[in-house]
Amino acid sequence: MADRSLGPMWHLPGLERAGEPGEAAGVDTSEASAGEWHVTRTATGSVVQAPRLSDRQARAVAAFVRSAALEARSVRTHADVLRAISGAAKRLADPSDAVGREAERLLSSGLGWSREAARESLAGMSREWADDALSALVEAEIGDPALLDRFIPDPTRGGRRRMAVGPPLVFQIHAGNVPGVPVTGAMLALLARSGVLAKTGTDEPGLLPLFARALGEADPLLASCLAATWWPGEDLPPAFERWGKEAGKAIVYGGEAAVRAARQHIPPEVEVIVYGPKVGVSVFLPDAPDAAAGLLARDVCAYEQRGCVSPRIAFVIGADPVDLADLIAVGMEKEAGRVRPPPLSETEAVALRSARAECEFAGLEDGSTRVSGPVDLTWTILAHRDAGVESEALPRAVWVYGIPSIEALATLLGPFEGRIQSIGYAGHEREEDLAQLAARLGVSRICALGDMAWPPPDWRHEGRHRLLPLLTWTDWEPAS
Amino acid sequence: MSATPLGADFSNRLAALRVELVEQFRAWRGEKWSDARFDELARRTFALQFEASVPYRKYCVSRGAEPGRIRDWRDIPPVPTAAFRRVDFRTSQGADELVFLTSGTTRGLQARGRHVVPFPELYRASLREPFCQFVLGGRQVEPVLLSLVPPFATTGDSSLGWMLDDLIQAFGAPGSKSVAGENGIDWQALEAACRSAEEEEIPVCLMGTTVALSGWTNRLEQERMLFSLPSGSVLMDTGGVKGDSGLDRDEMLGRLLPVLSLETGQVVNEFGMTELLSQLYGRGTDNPPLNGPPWLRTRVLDPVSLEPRPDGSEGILCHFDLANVGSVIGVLTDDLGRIENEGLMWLGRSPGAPPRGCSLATAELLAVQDNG
Repeated sequence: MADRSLGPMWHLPGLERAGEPGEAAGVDTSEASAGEWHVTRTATGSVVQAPRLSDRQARAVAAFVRSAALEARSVRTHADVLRAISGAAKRLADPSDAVGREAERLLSSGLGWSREAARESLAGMSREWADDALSALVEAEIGDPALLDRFIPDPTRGGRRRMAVGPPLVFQIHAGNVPGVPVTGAMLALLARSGVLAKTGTDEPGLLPLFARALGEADPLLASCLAATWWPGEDLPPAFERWGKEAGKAIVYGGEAAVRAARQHIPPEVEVIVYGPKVGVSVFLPDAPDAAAGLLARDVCAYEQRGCVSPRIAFVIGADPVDLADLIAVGMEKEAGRVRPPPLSETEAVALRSARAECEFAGLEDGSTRVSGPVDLTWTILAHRDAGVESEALPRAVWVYGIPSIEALATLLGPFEGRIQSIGYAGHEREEDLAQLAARLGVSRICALGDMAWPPPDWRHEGRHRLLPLLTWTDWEPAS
Repeated sequence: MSATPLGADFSNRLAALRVELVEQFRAWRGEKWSDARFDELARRTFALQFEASVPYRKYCVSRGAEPGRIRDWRDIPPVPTAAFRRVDFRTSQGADELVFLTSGTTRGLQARGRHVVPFPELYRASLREPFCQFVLGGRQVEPVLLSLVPPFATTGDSSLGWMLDDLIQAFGAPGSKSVAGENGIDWQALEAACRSAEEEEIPVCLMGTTVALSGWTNRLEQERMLFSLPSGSVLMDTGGVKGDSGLDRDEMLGRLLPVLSLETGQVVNEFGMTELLSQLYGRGTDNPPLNGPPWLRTRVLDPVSLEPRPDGSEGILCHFDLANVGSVIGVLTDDLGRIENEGLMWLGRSPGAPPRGCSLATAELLAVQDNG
């Protein structure tokens, strides 16, 4: 494998005074030694590296970010923040901008994604990062954005004034999510006027530091409100404990291990907000049009199926799943031509082959299953006439099951209550019943197939507000 | 699959092959077999399995492989281990038929595979001589065999349990036994047997999983117990070289061997799979290269294309085992390894589908829910 580095995977304001980032990682040389780096390789062999901060250094960064965040509250308005962060984020998705090209490079080197896949994902994320989308989100959640700047009259109670602001520091722990999620998380915290201490995931550690650098070119003070670095998910370096202590709130995205570590090592008085592991599913109602199969393929391939918004299972009511698999296959082939799939790791290849074998043999005697997909394993459809819920987190792979009714679906999905992020569906027959089932299962979004991977900005991720949980409200009832 | 009436010719050919293989396995004393000899037997095995098993035949036909149309045994389609979770491969119904179950993995909801063994005499013949050669060093010693694995009758589904029962019967000096049962391992019985072998100066052969031996190591250290096992004693551990439950075999052996007064040359690692009736062995610590009888051949394949990889390169392991006449000869594993001059380097089980972002396998989602 090529020994190539992804570049600096950190943005650590406050340490820069001790030296340029990259020169001993900006780490105080009196503390730097051979063990002062976190290093790993991504699945594609790219080297990921970031300085291992001592407790003192982590504390210094936290103090610097905290003071910058407090200063920004008095010298920047919500409008300033919105303009600066959406402007910086926009550059990530602009292929004509050096920042955009660097973002593409990070995704293609780090994840092995094709240029088209990288570009499409960045374009998808950037819709969420646009100023009008962010404004819509703020308005949907808190009404008047001026609340974030100052006390404003509360229309629900005469004489009262209200203001809402996040804690001076928010600690965000990312564990290999969809690329760009750390950027979105940081933007929301900056909108809450909080300083951000972020730990990025191994698969995609670079976009957030890149965003911070772009932000620094537009507004150095706001860039100082954001520290981002990487360490291996299984590690608990001093920075983890220190940032957990210093933060007013902690947000954990993704992996079970990260959630467990956060619950164990972050002090109980710090509120931990968890976005845990979820699965996406899709449903073909009896009157679903044939074209829906292509839309499913689109959703499956979005973000290379890394997100919990991408469907992993398709349930088919009133049609033959094996026949449907042929239609989906056409769509998967088309997607493979449009956006080249990344190379598979050995582990993924072994697991895909195993999953294919199990499905193939399950139907060899009675023809009740069908395996579709090219021999190079780049996409896979495992269709079963019988009902089932088995699936695995494998690239461009979808499990298709025939089910008799929505009631049968309710039984099958019962054990997954609270674990399904979104349901994509096609057709209209009994769609109201399906929506009711989604609500009962705690599904945060049910939408048309083809739209699953691109939720609107004001979507309530995991069924919750996204900005609101960061804020603390102050009611001012003026003295008479 | 169900047994189909395949006619007298089929039955005669199957019976002849079984008899021939059992004789050849029994007569083996460590010599190599030519590729032609293996190929001839493998083709006959494949032809019978192709005829007998409808799912296997369909699988082969869909890959363009049929008896008479293959160039050599390397063209015989191997069956991925996952298929054993869905299909019973069986060339015939045997009166003494055994069914072994895999221990199960985290993958999938129907996790345990089944290996149907219609002809236990083939298993018996395939395991005895290699054990004798690789573990007992020919017939130089007749040790007391002590197994830390419950006898087959305890669960009725363990291929390892069956194998160790048979070895005790075939090679064990008086006093040989399993010291494990439904309630786990009887450590005191094990230690008493070792003490008595020590006093009577009869060598012992200790046989157990790496995990069980690790438990014993902890106990012996805690109890400050020391043994001076007679010369000729052997420790055979199975599994757990790498990747299993985070156990470090070398570290464990580094602590256990001095306690038992054994040298590194007195340790043999055994590699077996429920889906195979033959085993591989490696002598020494530190992930020793594995070797087995000439009727078991292993290929290293590219995980994506399944094309063979050159010796010295890593890939997934595919075994062809003539002892599997009753089921299916070729087994494609999820194990990674490479072939070197000294033997096969087993590098562990591929860890299964890694989590992708926040997206998990449904079985793992349920596990998360149970834990949370």
